[in-house]
Amino acid sequence: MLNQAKNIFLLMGLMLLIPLAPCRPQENGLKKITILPSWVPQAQFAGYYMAKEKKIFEKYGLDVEILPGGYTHDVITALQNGQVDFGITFLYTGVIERAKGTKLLNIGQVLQHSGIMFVAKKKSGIHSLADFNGKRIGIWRSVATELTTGFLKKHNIHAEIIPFNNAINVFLKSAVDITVMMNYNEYKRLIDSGVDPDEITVFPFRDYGMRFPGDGLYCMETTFKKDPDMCKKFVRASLEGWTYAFAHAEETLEVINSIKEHANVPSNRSHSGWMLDRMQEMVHSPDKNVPLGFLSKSDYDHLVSFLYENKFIANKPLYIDFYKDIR
Amino acid sequence: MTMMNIKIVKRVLPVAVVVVVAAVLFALNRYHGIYDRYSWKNHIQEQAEIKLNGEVTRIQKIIMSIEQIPRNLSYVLEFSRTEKEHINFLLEAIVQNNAEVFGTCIAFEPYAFDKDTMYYAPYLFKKNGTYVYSDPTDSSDHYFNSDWYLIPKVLKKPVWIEPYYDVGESSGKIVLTTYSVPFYSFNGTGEVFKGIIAVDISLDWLSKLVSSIKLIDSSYTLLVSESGTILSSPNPEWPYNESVFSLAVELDLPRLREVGRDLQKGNSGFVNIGKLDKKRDWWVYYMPIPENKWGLLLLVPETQNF
Repeated sequence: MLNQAKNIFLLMGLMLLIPLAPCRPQENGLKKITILPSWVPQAQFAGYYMAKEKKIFEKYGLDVEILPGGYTHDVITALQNGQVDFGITFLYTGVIERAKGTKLLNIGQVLQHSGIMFVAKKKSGIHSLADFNGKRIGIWRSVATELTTGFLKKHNIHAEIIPFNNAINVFLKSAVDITVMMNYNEYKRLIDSGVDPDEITVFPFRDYGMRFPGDGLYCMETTFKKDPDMCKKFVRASLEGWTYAFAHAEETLEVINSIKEHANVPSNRSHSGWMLDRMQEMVHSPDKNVPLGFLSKSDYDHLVSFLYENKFIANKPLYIDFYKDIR
Repeated sequence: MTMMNIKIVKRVLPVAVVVVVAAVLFALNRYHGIYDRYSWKNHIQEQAEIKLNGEVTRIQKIIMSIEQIPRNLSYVLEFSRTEKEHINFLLEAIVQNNAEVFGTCIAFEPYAFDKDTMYYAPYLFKKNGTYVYSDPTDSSDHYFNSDWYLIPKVLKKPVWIEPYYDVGESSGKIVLTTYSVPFYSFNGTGEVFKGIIAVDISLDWLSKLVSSIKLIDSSYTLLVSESGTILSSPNPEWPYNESVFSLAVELDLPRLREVGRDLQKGNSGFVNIGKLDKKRDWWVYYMPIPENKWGLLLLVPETQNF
């Protein structure tokens, strides 16, 4: 009888505990979460893939599904609709959305700067920004438009703008004189298409007064409020995944290329290796005082001022509202 | 000459003769080795040139006949009406009557088909032995910004687009390349760009043709696109993943990059690219396909001991 009473009290106690847990563990004791990168599988997201592959997420109590990104999978929309728990996207995207009123949080700034740049063929006679005037300049239709058009506006460049879906072929076929690209992706593809580095001039945005951080980790405020501990674990596991990826580059490249192959994304070791090397440069800030995954206020203010001055945002979201340092 | 000197000469002379004879024999052997290698190289170069010349001529003919399809259609569209039924009739005529054609699209500029329709790009393609139309007003792929539409529009001339894996729901996994031709209308004062005719070609037939090109047993042929992307190779991991330039880095064969660059300039050549398989020297005879700027590379290992 006494045992029965004990059991009843125990059961009642357990029932009381259940509503207190915002995210119940799955049968395997892990919290199931989904993340969406801004693009298709590639070494740009190596840290997350390795955190999953090497069970680092599991060590932190998380069962993570990494969904395939791409043009048709918008990170912000997926976060707003509750389709994913976390997203990986550019800092400028996060700030613009926050300024629009979207209750979005940056919970980790992984890439301390961005690889965005303009590239021109030397034989087109383009050696300096002044040579951009009157030329055909290719920019992505729906990616980094604020940065590319803002760059041209900032430097008072008047040219014909050609929005495209992909940078490489338009440039190789000379449909544009100048194109935007990422140093970790399209630039290497250009070299792997037979263009020699000494045949092109590169204009990295960071060398022209636009040194903005790149990819960061995002969630909605509701997700953070509901389970801050889960968010913290996700950020810490992700950063550990990056550290592992850089320390085990060969293994990482094997994993990345295998994932790309399954996703029907063209892949080779040379390109993935190049991208991973560039990621290592970007994950670590040139300022030794900036720790891994941290969004510095000065970097944030620099970007917000650029977006505000160029009228891409109508108000300046506060740093303390936008960024949660939970490393 | 003293007795002593005669004795020395008698002892040394046989040795000297043996050394000289050995040296002559060695030199002859080396000469023959070099000569053999030289004649082998000449023979392979000659044979490879004949082989690739024939194949390039054959491929060119097929490519030119494919190019004629959208070119003819562009003349028709420039001088005829563009009602929905008429457009569909033209698409069906092309796709149903040309075995190499996988699908055809007639894509219009915004409001060029009618004043109320921004996107209008009817596409007819083959699927499981039947013919299927996609939604002509579908805007999801933003076709105005796609390579196959944008490049010929800007350049104002027909363009071969880099081949790609199409993994769409509609078509399954298939390797396609697109030949795009702009078409115009006349507004009384001049030409006005109206849209693009895009013909999708499956590359299966070309891959099969290229895989049959050999000189000796272990030789093989690569088909590469204008950007050097490998389109056909006996190594299943290379097509669409590697280019001759990425392979040059991965296999540490810098001369392969030079071959790719020379091919892009429209040149042919015969070059020792080094130890492709880490064991033997490999020679490559390369030849461009002028019509679409692709290229063939016939790779041959050195098979004799020189």
